[in-house]
Amino acid sequence: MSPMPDDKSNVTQEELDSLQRPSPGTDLTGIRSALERRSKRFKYCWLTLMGITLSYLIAYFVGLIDPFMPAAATGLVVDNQLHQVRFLLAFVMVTVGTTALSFDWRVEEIFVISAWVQAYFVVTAMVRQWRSGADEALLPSIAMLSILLTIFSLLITLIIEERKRKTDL
Amino acid sequence: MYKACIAVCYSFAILLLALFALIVSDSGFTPASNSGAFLLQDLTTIRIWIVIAGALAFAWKVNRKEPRGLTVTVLTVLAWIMFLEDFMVLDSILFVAEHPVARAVVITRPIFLAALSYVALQQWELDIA
Repeated sequence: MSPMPDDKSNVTQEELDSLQRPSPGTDLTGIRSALERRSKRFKYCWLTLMGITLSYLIAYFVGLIDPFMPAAATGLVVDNQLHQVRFLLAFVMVTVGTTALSFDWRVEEIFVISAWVQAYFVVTAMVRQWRSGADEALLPSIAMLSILLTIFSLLITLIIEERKRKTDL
Repeated sequence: MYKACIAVCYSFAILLLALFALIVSDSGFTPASNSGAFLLQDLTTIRIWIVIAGALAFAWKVNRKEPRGLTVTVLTVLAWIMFLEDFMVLDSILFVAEHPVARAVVITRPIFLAALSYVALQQWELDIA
């Protein structure tokens, strides 16, 4: 019986590297390495976004943001329920965004979708505050809207930075 | 199938516009509670503008033969979010769908959502190809 040919000798180093390189969409690189590949501005924007999310979560459960919510001005249960649904959706967006960044898969597209959803939340919240807000509720309304607008502007910055990175590659 | 789904989406948009015109012009469309009056007016108005902007953006991109997967996906996500908001919160305080147009909107909404989701998935494949 003839000996088996040595397959390894036929494979070049370049081919081996190519085989060992994870395919896009299946590479769980982790947030840290994903952020390391991006600009400092992207990194700080992402960390600020996570910081705001965490602070919002704590403030919500402690009850610190209750006076700033539309329900405080209108006294309607439905406003509170609407906020709860959006609160849940926002955390779904954060989860999807974090997962996309971890896998380095369609990050820009995910952030674009999140930014549009956030824009919908901002516009409807603005109109709601403007239509139902009493004069004494002006300051809480402005505070709440500024948080929403900060999140929106952070998302826009992330999209711009990601687009720049893609162009540079 | 793809073209049929687009036709379903545009038909639903026309139906929504007709409903909005009725809400504005007909005093018969009253909210289930007085407290829901502002919500009915504000949310309906904003959503109608989203529908108009979405339909125009899609038509514009088709006309210019530009990739439109992302546009359709954004519209699909927004449509699902509006559906969730209505289903979980707003149904109880908005109008009772007694008018035939309102009833048609309620009945065709799941079909519209399914058609829009299909168009979004199909559009990504078409954009890549």
